[in-house]
Amino acid sequence: MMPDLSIILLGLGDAFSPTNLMFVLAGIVLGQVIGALPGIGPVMAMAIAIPFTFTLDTLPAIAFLVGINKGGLVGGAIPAVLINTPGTPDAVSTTLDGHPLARQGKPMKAMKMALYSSVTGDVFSDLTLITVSAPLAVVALMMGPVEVLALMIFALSVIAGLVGDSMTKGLMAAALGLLCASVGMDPLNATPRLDFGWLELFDGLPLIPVAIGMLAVAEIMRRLSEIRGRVRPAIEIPDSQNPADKRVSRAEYWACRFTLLRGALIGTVVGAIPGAGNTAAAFISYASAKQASKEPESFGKGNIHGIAASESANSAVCGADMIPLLTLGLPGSVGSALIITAFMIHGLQPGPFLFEQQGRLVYGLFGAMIMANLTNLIIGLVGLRLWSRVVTAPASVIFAAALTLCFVGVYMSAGGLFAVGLMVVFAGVGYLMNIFGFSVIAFIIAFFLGPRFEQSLIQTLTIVDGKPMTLLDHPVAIALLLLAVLSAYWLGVRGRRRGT
Amino acid sequence: MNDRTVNRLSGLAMALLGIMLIVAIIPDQTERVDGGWIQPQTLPNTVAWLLVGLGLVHTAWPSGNIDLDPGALARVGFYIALAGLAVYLMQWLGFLVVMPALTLLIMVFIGERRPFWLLAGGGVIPLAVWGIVTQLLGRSLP
Repeated sequence: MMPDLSIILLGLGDAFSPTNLMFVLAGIVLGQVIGALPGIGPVMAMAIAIPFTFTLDTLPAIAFLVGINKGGLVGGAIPAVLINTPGTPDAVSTTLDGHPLARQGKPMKAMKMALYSSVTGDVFSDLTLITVSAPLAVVALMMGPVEVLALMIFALSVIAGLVGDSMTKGLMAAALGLLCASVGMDPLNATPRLDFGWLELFDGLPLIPVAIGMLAVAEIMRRLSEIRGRVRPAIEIPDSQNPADKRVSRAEYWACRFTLLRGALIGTVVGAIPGAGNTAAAFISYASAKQASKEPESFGKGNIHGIAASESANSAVCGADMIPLLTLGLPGSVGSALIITAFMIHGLQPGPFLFEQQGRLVYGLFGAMIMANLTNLIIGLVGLRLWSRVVTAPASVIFAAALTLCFVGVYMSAGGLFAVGLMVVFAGVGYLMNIFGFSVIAFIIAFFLGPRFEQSLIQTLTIVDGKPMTLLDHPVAIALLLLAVLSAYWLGVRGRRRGT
Repeated sequence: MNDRTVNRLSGLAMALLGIMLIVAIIPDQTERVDGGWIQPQTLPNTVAWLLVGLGLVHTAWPSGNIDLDPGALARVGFYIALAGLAVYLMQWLGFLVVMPALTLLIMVFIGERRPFWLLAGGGVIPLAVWGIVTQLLGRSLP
């Protein structure tokens, strides 16, 4: 399916409009600042930002959220380098070489290498997304409800196995998510279900309070519980006066080209797999860079290849994560689930039909993502020194501000205190799930997919009509179900035996 | 209590939740419809049975790490209760009274004593957010 050139050009024109560029810029700045704050993270920022995008047009709203995501991945490296505390989980492997390099008096070199690597990985995966998503959408259009149901079961089984350290707990978390998604009106018979007589639950549990409660407020509460009067120590990093130690030369960047390419490839492949995540990609890339290096003993002591490997991979996940989102309408991570929410708020359903019905928007989004990478680079270069001061802000104020924004955002999105109360309840649920090892990510994705899952289930049962042999007419669905069983075995049973 | 025991207990709790759903909650909270074999209870019941099965599997073969710190749990419980109380009071006292009080209380409880940052977190930030939302965006707050 060759897209109409006029649609592509119109989409790119929308992407480069002043309004859209402004929101991309705002998202990048916010993302980099938020990413520099340990404990907040771009996902939390995206969850809080969604209600504030209600009044925007679709493209600026989604470009804003994508900007936060991309900026957050750059910002997360700043505290990783300066204070050995990653701003985002994916920056953990960046601390291994970033902080030792900073201790040698080269913090700016470390942060700039992280920036260049992030942007490189991001550009690579965005180009992959732009290249493969349209053909994949054609394949996805051939899938009927039986195949879609089987695909969702496969995706949930993979996600349940990859996030967290227990397959059974991951599956139980996903089951709980599906259960919560069934609150409200039954889609087939239009009868109230599991609403306990509350009118506010007639339309089901709203996604925004649940997501913000479990992702943002639960994490804020957890971080607050760890503080307890500790004064943040002053940062004391020696700063070299040698200009070469404050920048990354072209020769140094070129010397890292294979590391960057390997990291970008790993991040892109891992990012396209639902549930795999930035952190896994970063560590896999770091480990393979160390293995491929002629001086593996220098890793962990300030080797810029370590930073390059980690940051290129974790940022490459961002673009690849959009592949299942745009082509199949399936979120592979909480970040992409939140982006789908933004689509749905504007009355659009991501999936294969999006390319046919909203081609201009899709290509506008591609253009916005490319612009976001360029903006990320420029803002990063300009703002690195400034954002590094953000790290010194006291956690008490940061979390107080975040909590205020959560309250306000949820109130604005759902228009009532009931939703804010729900947010608080789910903050408790999310916290308990985290401490007992039940994956909040699996819950949120299953909760998000729930209505579509049930619809596909109803359609499948109607097609099958009590004759299981009808499934033999759907070999793709059978293959996906078998893959689901295999992944449950591989990630669950064998993964446990290997102690992974 | 070690991780294996806590995992077994959590598995048992999930199985019990599933049973409660099947026996009491779902029948009470869903309607029977005439005709068709896809009922409003179909998906909830399927999920409940999954919880029972997976819960029993997890009880028999516990896996995964637990990160249970009773002190932290108590503190989080306190913050959640405080936030819940704030939501309850907000319907009578409004955002401008309750939010600064909530953030100030939390900041003091975690040990923040510097007047500048207490004013920033407990006063300036809620006021600034209120101003942006109600005056700039024209939306209402409680």
